[in-house]
Amino acid sequence: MKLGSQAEVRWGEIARNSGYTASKPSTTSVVVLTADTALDQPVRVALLHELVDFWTKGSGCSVDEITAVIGDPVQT
Amino acid sequence: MPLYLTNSAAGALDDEAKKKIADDITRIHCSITGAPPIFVHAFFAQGIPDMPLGDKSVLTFGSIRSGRSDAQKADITGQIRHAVSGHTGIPVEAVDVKIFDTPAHWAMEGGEIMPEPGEEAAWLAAHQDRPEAPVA
Repeated sequence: MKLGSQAEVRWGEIARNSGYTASKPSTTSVVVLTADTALDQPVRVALLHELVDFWTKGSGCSVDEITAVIGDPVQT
Repeated sequence: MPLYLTNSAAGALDDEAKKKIADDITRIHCSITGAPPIFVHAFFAQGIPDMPLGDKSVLTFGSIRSGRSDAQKADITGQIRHAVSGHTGIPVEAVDVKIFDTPAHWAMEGGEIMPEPGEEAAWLAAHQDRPEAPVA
């Protein structure tokens, strides 16, 4: 399943000495996606795996260096 | 996750303060929730568009796994505000911390869905080779 519209992408770069994981200098990337519809969990998990695979292949980072979140639409 | 992202005014936080605040965020979050330190990310930046400072000098958004009590979240918020103030000299009134719940099953770390709070043992056992993994 693909989501229904083109993604809007915003980048935020964390400078050296400005990111920590477990109190140690971090090499983690955080990728947060808000879906345009509420997702069933199997669909979400499949998309998360796809996102992590895409990210690790594109960046060269390991699977342990990515935190990925795919959330449902925010209720306002 | 949790991810604590801090936006600050120019010059408000130097690298030494960031390290000390990151240490305190990690300690505070883990002591209050029981979560393992390996889960705690503390990132700092300036001029984050979606985090307007308003009349504050420092603003931290904490995205944490759902399931923590309101009292726990208030404790985290209060302790982090005072930690930031203590490490920078910025008045605590000029430091704001907001906590947001994120369902654990929305997030993936180490290639696996995050465990629910209190159910971390299996996840940790599967990731013992991570450099920052806790020593058993």
